[in-house]
Amino acid sequence: MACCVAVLIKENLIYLRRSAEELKFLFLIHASIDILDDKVNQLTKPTSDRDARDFYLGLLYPVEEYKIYGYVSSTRVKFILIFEHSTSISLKDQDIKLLFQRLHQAYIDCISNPFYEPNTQLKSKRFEQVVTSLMVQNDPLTSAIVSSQASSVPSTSAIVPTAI
Amino acid sequence: MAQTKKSVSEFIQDAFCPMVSVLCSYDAETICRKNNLTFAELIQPFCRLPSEVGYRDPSNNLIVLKNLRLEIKDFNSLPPQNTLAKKILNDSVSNALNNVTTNNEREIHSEQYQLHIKNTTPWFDAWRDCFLRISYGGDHEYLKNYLACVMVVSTSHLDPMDAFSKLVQQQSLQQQQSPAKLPKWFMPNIYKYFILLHDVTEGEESKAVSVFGDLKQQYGAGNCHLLQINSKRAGQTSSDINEAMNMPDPWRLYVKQSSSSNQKQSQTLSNKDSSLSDSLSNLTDLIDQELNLTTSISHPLGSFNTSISDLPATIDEGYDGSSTGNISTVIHGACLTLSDHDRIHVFMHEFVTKGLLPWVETNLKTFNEQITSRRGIKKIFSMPKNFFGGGSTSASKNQPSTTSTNLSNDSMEVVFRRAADLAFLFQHYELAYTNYHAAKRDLSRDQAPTFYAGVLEMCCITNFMQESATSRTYPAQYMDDAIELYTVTCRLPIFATRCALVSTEILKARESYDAAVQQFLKLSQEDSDLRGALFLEQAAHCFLNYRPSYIRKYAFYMVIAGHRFLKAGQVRLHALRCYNDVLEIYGKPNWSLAFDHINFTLGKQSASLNQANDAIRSFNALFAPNNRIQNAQQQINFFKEYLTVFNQITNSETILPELPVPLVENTTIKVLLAGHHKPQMGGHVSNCNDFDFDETREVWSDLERTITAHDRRASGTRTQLNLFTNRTHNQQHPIAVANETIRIELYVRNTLQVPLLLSEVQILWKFSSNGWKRKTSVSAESPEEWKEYTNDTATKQTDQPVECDILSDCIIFPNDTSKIELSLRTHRPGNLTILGICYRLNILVQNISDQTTWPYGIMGKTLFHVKGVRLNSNRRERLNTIYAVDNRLEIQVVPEAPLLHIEFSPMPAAMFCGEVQSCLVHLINTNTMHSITRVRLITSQPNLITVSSLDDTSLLTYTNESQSLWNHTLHQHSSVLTLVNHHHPLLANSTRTIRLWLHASNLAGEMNIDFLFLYESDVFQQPLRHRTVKHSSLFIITHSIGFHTQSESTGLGELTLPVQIDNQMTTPNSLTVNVQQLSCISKHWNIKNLSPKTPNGIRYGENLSLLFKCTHLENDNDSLQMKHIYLGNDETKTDQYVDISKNPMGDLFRHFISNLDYTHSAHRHKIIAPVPIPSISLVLLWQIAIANQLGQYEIRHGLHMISPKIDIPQTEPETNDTIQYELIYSSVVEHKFTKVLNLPVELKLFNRANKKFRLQLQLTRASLDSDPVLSSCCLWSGMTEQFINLSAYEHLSLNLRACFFKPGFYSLGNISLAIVDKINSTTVPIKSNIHNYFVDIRTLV
Repeated sequence: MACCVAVLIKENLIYLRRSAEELKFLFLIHASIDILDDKVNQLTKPTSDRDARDFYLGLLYPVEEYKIYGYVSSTRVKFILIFEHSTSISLKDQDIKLLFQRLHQAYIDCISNPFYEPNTQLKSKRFEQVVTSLMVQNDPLTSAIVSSQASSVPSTSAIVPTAI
Repeated sequence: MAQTKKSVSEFIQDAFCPMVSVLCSYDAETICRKNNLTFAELIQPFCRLPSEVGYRDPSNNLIVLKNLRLEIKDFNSLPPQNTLAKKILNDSVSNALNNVTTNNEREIHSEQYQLHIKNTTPWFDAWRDCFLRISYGGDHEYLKNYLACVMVVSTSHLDPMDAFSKLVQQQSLQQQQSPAKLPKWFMPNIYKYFILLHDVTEGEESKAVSVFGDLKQQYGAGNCHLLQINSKRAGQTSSDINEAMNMPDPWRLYVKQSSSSNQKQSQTLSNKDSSLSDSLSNLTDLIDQELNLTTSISHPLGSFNTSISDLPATIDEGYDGSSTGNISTVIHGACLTLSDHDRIHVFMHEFVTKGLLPWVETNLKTFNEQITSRRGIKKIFSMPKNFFGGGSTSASKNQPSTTSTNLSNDSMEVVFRRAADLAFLFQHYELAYTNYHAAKRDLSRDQAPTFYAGVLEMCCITNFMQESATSRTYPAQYMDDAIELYTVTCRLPIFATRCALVSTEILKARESYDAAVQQFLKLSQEDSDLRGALFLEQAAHCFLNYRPSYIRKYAFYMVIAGHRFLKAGQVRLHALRCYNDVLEIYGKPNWSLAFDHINFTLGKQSASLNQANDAIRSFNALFAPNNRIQNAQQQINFFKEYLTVFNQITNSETILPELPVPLVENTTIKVLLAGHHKPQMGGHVSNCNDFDFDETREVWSDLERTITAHDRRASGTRTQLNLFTNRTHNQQHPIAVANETIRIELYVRNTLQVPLLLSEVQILWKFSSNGWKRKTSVSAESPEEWKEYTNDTATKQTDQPVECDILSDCIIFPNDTSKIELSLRTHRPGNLTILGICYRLNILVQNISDQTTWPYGIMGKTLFHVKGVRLNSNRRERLNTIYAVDNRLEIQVVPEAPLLHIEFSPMPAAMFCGEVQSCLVHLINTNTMHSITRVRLITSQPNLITVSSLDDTSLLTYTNESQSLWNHTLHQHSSVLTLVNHHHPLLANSTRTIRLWLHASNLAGEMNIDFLFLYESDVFQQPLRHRTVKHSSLFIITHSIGFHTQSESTGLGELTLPVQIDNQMTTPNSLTVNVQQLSCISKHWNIKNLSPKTPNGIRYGENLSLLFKCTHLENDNDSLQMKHIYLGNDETKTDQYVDISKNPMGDLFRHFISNLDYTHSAHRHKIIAPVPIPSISLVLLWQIAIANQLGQYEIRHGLHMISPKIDIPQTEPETNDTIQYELIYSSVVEHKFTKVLNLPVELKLFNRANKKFRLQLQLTRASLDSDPVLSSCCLWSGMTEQFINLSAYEHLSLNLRACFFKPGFYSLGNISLAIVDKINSTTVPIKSNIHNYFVDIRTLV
């Protein structure tokens, strides 16, 4: 589903997984750092209507074949998901947000490892598993998850903050 | 953003200024030529009016023109042809790079970056100005059309009036010819102005005045001017020239433009002649010819044909030509005085205020009237046009009009446009805007797209220029539409470009960078690479102005711009600049693919621009060790390019370039001051000349100090090291000897994914002979000898003082390390510094055809950087990172000296405990001149080593005597063995062999023996006093036998020695230990075998017990006696004994006894003291027959020594205890008592002391029944008192007789012994155990 997953700290690409060994993903990620910075800057501006814990930045910018979504943690760790245009038509913002939250949670688990040296490449089996699940997840499964989440909308809103 | 110096409105005013044409008669031109100028050029510097002028618009408002500039061009000048125009644009861009004088940097500090980006892009400004200047007006607009024509005739003309009328005729003919040719005119009846040029120095003033009168009469006073110039003659004298040089030269800036326009003009002329040949070289030739004919001025653009061939040449030329020499020699306006300048100023002012502006006023009025009068009609016509508009669209879509409008010359829209253009040119923006807007409203885009686009464009510009009119919003969409129309529908990229140039400036001024970026990108797509590159770069700069700056977008677009610059050709420097600017942005970790691309391009292009250093730096970054994700194929490509570039660049260089790969691991560099030498005698070479020989251990310096401690001469010299690694203390320079091999070992790492092939690897060195001075020959040394030598050059030199061995090839696999060992020899004393290695680098690829393209690789070097340990002793060192000096690569070379090689015949690797083995040691003096005077050996286990001469092949020396004297003294042995002394030196090129005996220790396990040979020669001088050879041997010691004894005193000075011999081997085997001989070495004891003959072989798990009896030895002369007991079974050999006093047995025994109280004796006694000899020592000889690898049995001999403690007190005993005695009798006696029983009792006496005694023996004869104690005592018969003399250690037996009369139990205690002290005449009773002697007398029935 997602065809590229990336985690960045500042400039530093600490994790990258792509469906194909293509340079364009790198290019897209690099280009989206600017936009991420921009959006993060807007985040820091005090706005009343914003949920302080909502780190989902939404669609960063549209490219012909892909959709690029961004997410940033409170410590400014940036997560980027790239979807192919064809597969992501059915995706709603809410779904993507959930994917990001799973990724974020996996990242937190990964860096909680006391042997992980900050700012270095992420090497964790469990994180890989989560990323793999994000990438191979086919639509029926997602929709199942989404529907289950959607059916319990009040509960998700209760769960999600604790998960973060 | 590229900030221009001018404000945007000024920029627009300059871009669109009223055009005036100049038509000159030939004679007027001649006058101007005196100043090296054409008339148009002459007045060009003056066409910006310094003062404000004003005119009234149709509604009678006063419009004030500030800073009005007219563009004056020659009548014949034409815009340049396409190819030439391209060339001019290219040059403007490439030349502008050198003119960046403003240090105008903008700093961008973001979270991640600290960037310094140049704020201005003068090349873009230059290109834009150039573009606007050479672009011609389109058919749909009138901005670039000439408003007026200035006719110039000089007074030197024979008939000036006729000339004027001819010029007017020429102009009107040109205007009316069809098809219309350039130049184009604003409207049919343009403004004409007449100038009568008067040369003050040559012409007659009266004629001028009269002609001018006629002129005024004919053409009106306001339209004529008498211009007087050339008030002085052109520089005849040098002072004039000087004066002229001091004159301001306002033409400088303009002359290039005008000359280029001249050129264009001439080019077009020649084009007409030579049927439009497009070849640029042809053109430039023609241009040159033309130039030579028409003007004798050579100018920078005249060197076109050269500049095409080599780009750097043109780059050197300044944009304004000020830097080139040929321009500065040409003096413009040499005949003009300052008053002439003023006159030109006045003329310009007159021309504008009196002539041009009234014309503009009237025309505007006319237009206004036309518009108002037609408005009514137009309303009628506009209705059907709207109705049928739909029908006409399809037609115009089918054939889009590209060149001309299909509007008639006097249609309403054209009038609007013309009126608007005029108003615009004369800065009446409000009027212009209304007219443009009106035109736009009336036009449909399909009908006349070009016209429509032009109107849209101008709407935007005028809207922007109306600074007051803030109410109207800026119609940004108009501009987008205009650009779209120009590019897509009309295919007029020039106008689109112009449109974008102006529009982006406006947008930037309005800070809507986003829209500016869009427009730049829209026009960066096709056709012109140069324009695309420039626009991309501008777009990139716009990204920086975003809030926050879009740095990565900037970087990305800069890279694309760089790429486009490359494609455009001839502006490679700009490409390099673009790539360089973003290098820092992509130089972040994990973006190395992009970084590699940039570096690769930079390297390639720098190389093609002959910027060797930059190219190499870029390529080196490409192969930096932290770059790991690039795949192998790409790296091969990089490397191929690198090799080719390198070969191009470094062909001419004299110094070898430094190569980025492979990486030398500096910590692994080892320097070994010893060469390989092959064993000459067939033995093993001493192992200190290997890199893995651990010379750093403390033991070596300890051993060396032990030897040198005795030498007064060598005191204070440091110990000699041969191997220098990063663990040794390298504060001092290694000392090498001339003509001896120095070896270097290092590891190199290949960080690439491609296997590397190094060939012709050798050490890079620097040698100078001035450091080390021979005291004797300082003065004799010629200065030439002080020269520094090095092989750090590309060229090979002969007669080098240092000879290097070359490693032919070495392959390093990807991500692997490889060990390289190199050696070199110096031929002279001096200072040798090892700089690094040089090698020929190539990559190893499978494809053979690839390899043929660069068969030789590249020659380069890698330097060593060694540093000592990090210092940590004081605060400063702890806080900073300070490393100790490391001199291991700076070697001091001393003159040739003897070199000792040590070879060992095979040393045993495995031994049994106590085994004795021998090996041969060959001392080889390899030097051909000097002899070695002294060789000394010290080992870490001196008690296990002894040496003998070569002839003593046998361990065992046999003798027939079972008992003999130890006939030489036993001295405290020295731990240093002198192998060669100065009485018998080791001559040059000679060999001496000695035999070395090794005695395995009694402890099983590993035994390490370190041998240090220290040798001296007469030629050794400071700092090399002596030299050493080191060797370390490891032996595996296995258990053999145990040898134990515990002496037991039997009383009466005799000892029994039960000896137990165990086979202690830990693993079951079939080996049999045969005990051969037991020797007793003692001064006082003799030994006797009590045990019966038993088999002497002890197999695994067995033991052998033997019993010996020691008796006192009659020994007067205090000599050491040996007693050998043969334990073997061989009957024939019973009378053959091993003489253990002979060497090496004797030495080993000596080591043994001196080690017994090793701890007590001070080790470093200067006097060789006799060894305290133990009272008794037992030496057991044994042998094991063992099969060697060849299946042969060999007999291994072993030696165990023991010195049992004996309980006999060594000190003088108590006097009363020195004499021992006992009574021997039968304890139970049966007697018939028919007569008195006489019982014989033997009294045995033994003197334990080494002293003669006199004893008194008293046998008490008790009175019967008187003494109860004695009642039970026996009755002695014979002498009751006697004196006995007992000599030292004497055994004596006395026969006494006891008498018994009746049976009973009797005591024999009534006997007393006393020592008679003769001096004091006293007796000392001897303590006695006599009470214990009882006898039982029974009656025999």
